[in-house]
Amino acid sequence: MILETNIVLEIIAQIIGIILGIIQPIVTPIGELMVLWVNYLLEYFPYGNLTLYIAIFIILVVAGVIINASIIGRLLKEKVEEFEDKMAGKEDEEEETEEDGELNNLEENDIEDFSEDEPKEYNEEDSS
Amino acid sequence: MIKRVTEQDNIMIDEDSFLEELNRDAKNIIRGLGFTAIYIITTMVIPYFTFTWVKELSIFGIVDIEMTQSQYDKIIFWVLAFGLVISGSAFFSYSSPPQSIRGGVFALIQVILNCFYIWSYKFSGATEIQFDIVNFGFFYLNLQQMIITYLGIYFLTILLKVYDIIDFVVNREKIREKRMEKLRKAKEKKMRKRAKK
Repeated sequence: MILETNIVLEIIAQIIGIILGIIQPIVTPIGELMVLWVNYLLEYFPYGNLTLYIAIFIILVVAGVIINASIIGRLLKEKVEEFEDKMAGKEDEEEETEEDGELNNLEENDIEDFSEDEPKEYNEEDSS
Repeated sequence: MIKRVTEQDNIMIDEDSFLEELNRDAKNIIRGLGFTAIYIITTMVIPYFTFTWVKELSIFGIVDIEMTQSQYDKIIFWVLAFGLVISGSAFFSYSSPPQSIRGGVFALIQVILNCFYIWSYKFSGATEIQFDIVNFGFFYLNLQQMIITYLGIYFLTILLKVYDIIDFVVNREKIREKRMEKLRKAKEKKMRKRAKK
């Protein structure tokens, strides 16, 4: 009824009809193929309990907010960097303490007396 | 005249970039929420009320759409189930930055889910409508063929989405450069405005 009264809508409907008529021979066999795999996969979707679908919806929304908000991403990155720095700091400290321990374990004889190697004072007489 | 960039200016620029980032995030999230709302309305609310209305509909006693209780339960279940998943993936896809790979992947998932959603309509029995004509007989209008044609068109959409993803992956660096260039220009514009002030 509406299409008959409005000439513009009628033309649009005709155009869509023509386009569909042209592509139908190509598209319908593809659609039948689609139906095959859709029917096959539909059997694996759980029926009768919406809880799983609600959970998927919530997970997608929360994941979307976390992943797509770069502020949160940046904060997380900063946290990770802080953690990495802390870990690196701890490793350095451990290395230092290990080195200190090694030095402490050295016996007195092991420590060379470098005082002898000190440069002798310049003597004016020697130069002459 | 060269304006010296003071520490105060740097702090202000940092605050600006933070606000810009926040603004961009908020825009993305709001866009995602908007599209989620649209998808919830179009894939869940409208079909739910339509099928509830159609359940025992008889137009002037001529058109008789027979829908049993089990058929009704089944179609409502699938409409709600796929509607929820489609809306969730729509949120993810529309809240992603434009031309991003994750956005493309979720757009593809959304199209595939749409195929399941459309095909689930056949469970309603609304694809085969019986028209009773008084003192003449009846005829069937089989809408299943129309859905098959629609699924065929959806296949072409899937191909397009796959092409999009390949394009985003191949031109990833270019897309990033363009995005950064856009951001840089916006920042420069702001800085120029501030310098004028």
